[in-house]
Amino acid sequence: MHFKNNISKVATLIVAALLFFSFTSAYVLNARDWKKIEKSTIALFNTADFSFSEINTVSKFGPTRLFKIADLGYLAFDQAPSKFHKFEYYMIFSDKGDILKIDVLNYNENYGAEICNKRWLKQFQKINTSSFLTYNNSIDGISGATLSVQSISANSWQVTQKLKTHLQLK
Amino acid sequence: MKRTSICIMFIALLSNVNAQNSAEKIVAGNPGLHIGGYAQVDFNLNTRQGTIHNNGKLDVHRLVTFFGYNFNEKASFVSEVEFEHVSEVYVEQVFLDYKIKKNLSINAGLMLIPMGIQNLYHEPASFNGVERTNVDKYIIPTTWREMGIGLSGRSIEHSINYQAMLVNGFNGYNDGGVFSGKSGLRSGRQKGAESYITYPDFAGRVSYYGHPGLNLGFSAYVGDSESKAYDGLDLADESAVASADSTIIGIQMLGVDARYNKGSLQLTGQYILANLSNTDQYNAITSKDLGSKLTGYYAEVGYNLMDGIIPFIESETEELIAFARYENYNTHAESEGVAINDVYNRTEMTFGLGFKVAQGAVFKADYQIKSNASSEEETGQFNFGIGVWF
Repeated sequence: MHFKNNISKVATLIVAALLFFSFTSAYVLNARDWKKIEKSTIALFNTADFSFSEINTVSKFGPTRLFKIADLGYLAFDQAPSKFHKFEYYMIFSDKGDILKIDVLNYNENYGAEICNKRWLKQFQKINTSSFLTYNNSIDGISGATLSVQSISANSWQVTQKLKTHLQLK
Repeated sequence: MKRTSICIMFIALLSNVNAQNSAEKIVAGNPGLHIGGYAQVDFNLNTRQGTIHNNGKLDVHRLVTFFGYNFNEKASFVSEVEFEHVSEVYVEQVFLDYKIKKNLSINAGLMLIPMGIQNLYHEPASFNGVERTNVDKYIIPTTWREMGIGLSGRSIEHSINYQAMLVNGFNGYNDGGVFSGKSGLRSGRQKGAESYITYPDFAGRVSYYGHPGLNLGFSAYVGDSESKAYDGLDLADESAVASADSTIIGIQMLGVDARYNKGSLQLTGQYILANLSNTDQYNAITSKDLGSKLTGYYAEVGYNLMDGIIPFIESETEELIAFARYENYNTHAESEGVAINDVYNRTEMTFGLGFKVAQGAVFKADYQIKSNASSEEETGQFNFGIGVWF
């Protein structure tokens, strides 16, 4: 009986902690972030004629935020961990779901900011694979930024998969 | 009997659940809390020199536990406690980091001196070879950490990271000279253990990562070593002041390092130069043989053999890195008041393998050929070890 009680206590605690965590870690895109995203979108698609509309349901994509860029492609925003902070980044996709751009909005750690290098991030544009391992291995490492490199590869892969699932269901 | 064992099992199970409960509570209930660590365990075996036998050495070289806490988005605390050779306990880092701007933070406490590669990136999975390089051990000297206050920042637009700090200097004189010709400044590290100071020293580093795969670093350290001879010194007593002045060393240390990664290839190089002043007076008053110029460099090439270049051992999750390194470190590149001792001009060639079974877990093996400029003789050393980091 004690045993069962404990399990339910643990479960409640974990759920409560996760809920607490999910609320406290939510990042709100500010005006500066949007300005940067808009600028990238204009540069990529060569037009200023577009609008962002969020593809909804938090449960579907978890903390990842997914937007339709009418009628050009898709925008995803997410947070990923570095050594012990989180950084915010976004991805822009074609309407078929190919990665056109990945860019870091805010980097908050004293180590590992090398992943913000735009030329390094360009590697992601070429990737078109169906397995995470080949995806991850096609990214060149950076000495001194191992954790952040792993983190952005793993996280952007998940985001890509979420978009792919969405496109298939559509 | 049966009932007792069931009872014991039940208690064990219950206590296990309770243990999980408290652990989950700490980690999940404190999103700001971070736990990590790294470890390096070595087996060193010197080859026989003629008919002279040497015993092998098995050592839990380092075990470091990391605890960090993010109070909020701006303030965070970092601590690393180190067990060295099992029985020696040190604090490797303990500081508070406060973000004053988006890309700039102020740190205060016991911090790593930003000099060269391995003093900052010394987790064993991040370098090739069982042992850290001796340029970093005897010229820099790793793990070099002192008390102070500093700024660390970055310009993402210009692909630059920078650090600048004011810290206490080395303890160079403590009822006798601490520095030596053989190990340079190494014995003078104060490590935050009741450190003392007269004037602060400056340390800084800028690294540039604008070219993908390349990380270039420039480090500088300028200041004087500390001396116990100043404590309680009567500044009106000219001869006592002159005598105390002879116990400090002026230090200018500069470092350049480069790391390049492209696919399976990794290239690493580092050059460190330390100009020391006042060594003639220091050596005279302490009967030491400290050099006036210390230099060290290494160049290393590594390649992941499991990238598909060799059939049958291709892997996407594991890496087998073969590497070769040439290293020279000389704590007597120049001297004043004492003759140059060529024994301190040391060269090492290292050839080895690192089997990375995960990004933070590696089995290592290497062979080192060691020599010095005083003779033609070479000695060999096998090293085997494990390195983990999480």
